[in-house]
Amino acid sequence: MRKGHDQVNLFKKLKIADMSIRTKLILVVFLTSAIIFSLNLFMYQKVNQTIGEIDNVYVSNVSLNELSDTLAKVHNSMYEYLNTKNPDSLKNYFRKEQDYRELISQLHVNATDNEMLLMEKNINVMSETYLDKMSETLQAKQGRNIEKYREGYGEADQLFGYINEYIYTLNNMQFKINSDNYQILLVSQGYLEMTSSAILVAVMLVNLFIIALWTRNIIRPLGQLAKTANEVAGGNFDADHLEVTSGDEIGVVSKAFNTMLQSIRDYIVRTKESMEKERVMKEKELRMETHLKDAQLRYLQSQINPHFLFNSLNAGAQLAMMEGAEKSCLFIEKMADYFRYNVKKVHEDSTLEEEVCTVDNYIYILNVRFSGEIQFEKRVDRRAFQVKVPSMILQPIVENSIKHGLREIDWDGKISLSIMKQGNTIRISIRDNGRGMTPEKISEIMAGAVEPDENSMDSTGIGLSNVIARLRLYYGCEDTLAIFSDGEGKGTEVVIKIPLVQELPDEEGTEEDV
Amino acid sequence: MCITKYTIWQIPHGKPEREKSQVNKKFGYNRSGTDREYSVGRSKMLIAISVVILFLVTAFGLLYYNAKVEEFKLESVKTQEYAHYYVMITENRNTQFWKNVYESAKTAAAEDDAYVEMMGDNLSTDYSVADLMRIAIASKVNGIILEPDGDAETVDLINEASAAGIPVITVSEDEIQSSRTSFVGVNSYSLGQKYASEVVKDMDKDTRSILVLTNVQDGAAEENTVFTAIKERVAQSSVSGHNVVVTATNINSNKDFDAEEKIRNIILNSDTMPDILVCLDATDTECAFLSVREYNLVGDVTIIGYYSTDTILEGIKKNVIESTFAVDAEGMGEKCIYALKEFREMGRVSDSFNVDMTLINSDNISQYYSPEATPAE
Repeated sequence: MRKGHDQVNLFKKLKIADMSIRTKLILVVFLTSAIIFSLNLFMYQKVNQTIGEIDNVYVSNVSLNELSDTLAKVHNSMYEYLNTKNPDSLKNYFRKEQDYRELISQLHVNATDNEMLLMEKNINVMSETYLDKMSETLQAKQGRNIEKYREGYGEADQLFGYINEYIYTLNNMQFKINSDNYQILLVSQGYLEMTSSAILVAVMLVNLFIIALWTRNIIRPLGQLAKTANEVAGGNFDADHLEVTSGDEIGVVSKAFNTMLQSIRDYIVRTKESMEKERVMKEKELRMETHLKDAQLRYLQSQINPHFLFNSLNAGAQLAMMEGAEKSCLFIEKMADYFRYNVKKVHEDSTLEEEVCTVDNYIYILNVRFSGEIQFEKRVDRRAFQVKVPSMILQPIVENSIKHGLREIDWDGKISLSIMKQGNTIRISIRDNGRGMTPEKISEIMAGAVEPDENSMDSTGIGLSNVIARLRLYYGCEDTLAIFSDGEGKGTEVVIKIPLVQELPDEEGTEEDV
Repeated sequence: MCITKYTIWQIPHGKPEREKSQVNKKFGYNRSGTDREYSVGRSKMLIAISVVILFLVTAFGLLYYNAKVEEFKLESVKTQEYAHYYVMITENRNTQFWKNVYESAKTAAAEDDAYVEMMGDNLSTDYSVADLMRIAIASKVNGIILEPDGDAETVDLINEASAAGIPVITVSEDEIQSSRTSFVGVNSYSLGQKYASEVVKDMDKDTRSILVLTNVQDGAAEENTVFTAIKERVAQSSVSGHNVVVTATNINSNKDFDAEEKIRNIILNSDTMPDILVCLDATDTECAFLSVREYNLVGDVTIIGYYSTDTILEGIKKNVIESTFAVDAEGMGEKCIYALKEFREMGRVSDSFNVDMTLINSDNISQYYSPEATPAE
């Protein structure tokens, strides 16, 4: 039972909540109007009842007046008959007598302590006596007993007076009571007006309250919707979901809004997820690239492994030493140092000091080969000696300067190496006074378009483009190396700028060598 | 590139907690939602309460209206019907004495399933005793209680009523010549003797005149037993030692207010003012008392009154009225009804019923008079 009752309640609840706003408003107006209307109906009924009572007030007076009138007609028609013996009067008399008897038959007949009913009874009995007396008088008249009918009429006339007096008195009594009743009715009418006005005012107030409450319930979700929409518009996508308690238009809109809000949230979450995924992917890609570069570096370094030569040179140096040829021995040792450096440093970074040393060895070798043709000048800040750099970067540049700059020139070839601290960088400059380069050539080299001459017997095998590529990979920066030339015959300068990751030692020292 | 693809399609296991709670919130089933539901529930309750208040206001308003209207409505008197209908006819129906007689008769009649009506009380025309008798006969009442007015016509009507089978009981005054059924009242002889005794008792050597106010025609005073008795006893008395004049005046005329004016004239006129004034009527006694008091003539005249209204008792208390003979009005009314009942049941009844009389004077006034009951002067 209980469950069923709950279900009915739930059903009702759902039913009202699911109604459209229009229906709800109509329901509110209808209900409140119905209350006022039913109250009005009730009041009208009361007013009608009161009016009915007012009508009844005078009915008794009217019937008494009728009684009095009929009695007068009875009496007059008898008088006329006695006076003229007109058969019409007699007929009239009988007719009126009949009417009168009917009227008095409605009167009270028993003795009672009610003054008015007692008067009715007396009128009734006196009327009977009167009619009997009239009847006797009539007989006497018809029997021509003049004395008797005169006397009879006299007595009847007296009774007529008494009855009229009674009717008059009774009428007055009734009128007085009726007037009192009328006063009561008027007073009660006043009270009815007052009460109904008070009730109507109260009902109006309560109705207003109900309407206010009801419409507030209907409208409130709209306010909530506007508030939450503003919040969302302001960028707060975590705003609370709207409460959906009804199935009306606002309920539908609120549901749609909630769905939209949820969709936006879901979308934001998805976007964040995909951005995160993209970031991770990029990171992995970068890591892969690094690995690749590393591989390429190792590959490039492996290209310049001169292991066999190094072993041969060691043997040559020992031979020269045994033969007492010191210069040859020094030359071969320099050669050996040069190639040892290559062997040793092929897999790891080196310092600037080692790089400069390798350049020294190389210049020495070349000058032995070419009888001191090349002037080498260096200006080095010793503090930069311990700076880590990729191995085999300076020697190929110097080699390139000699091979392409200083060869086949009519003037003395000269190469200057300078290593200076410049701001947060180490500036390494290798300058020659050779043939120089055209800007187009420089661009080609910088773009890596010039392939190193693999078949050149006079080369270490590491071209400028390799150096450029390795520097770029190592420092992750495109402009680590730059080539400057003022044009044909004006020489070339290659500048490497290495970012300084740690402070250089304080002591100052510059090494110069020619 | 395969690795990259794998990364893209990597889906996290389960939804984050925040997201889950948001999903739970989706249709407003969160905490704030409960609050709102509570608010909506409260509104519904308020509406329900308002509707109840509305009905209560209406109901209370109507109850108030009904209660107010009921206050004004005349109380519907229970109408009691009776088997017998008697009428009481007297010219003095407005006096306290007759009202008392009537009330006691009415009460006694009610016990006998009969109703007594004071005839002419509610009629607009002031009918004579004869008219009222005629009306009673025409109304075929079951009994008439009559105070005869001494008119010859009344005697005829008593006879007519008797002939019509209506018993007529004469009260207070008798109509010996008529065929009345019975008489209820004070024995006039004994009444005369009592008055005479009281008059003689109040006489002293200065008593010169005694005036008896009667309701018989002037010149027929001898017919009044009280007057006769007083006259006889005063003549026999030797208290004053000289001749005491005993006179009678009829102060009951047909004109209203005549009695009061006549008494006032008698008292104000030193020639007519008696030493002892004997009143045989309650109204006369009251008029005499009020006149004496008004003109401050207390002690100049000795008033012997009749009956015991509040005013008369006050007069005795203030020593303006010497004494009064109180007739047992209640007993009188009851005896009338008893006589009618007896006649109805037995077909005959005792010829007369004597009614008790009590002398009230300053000695026993306290038994009859309580100052609280007296209206303020």
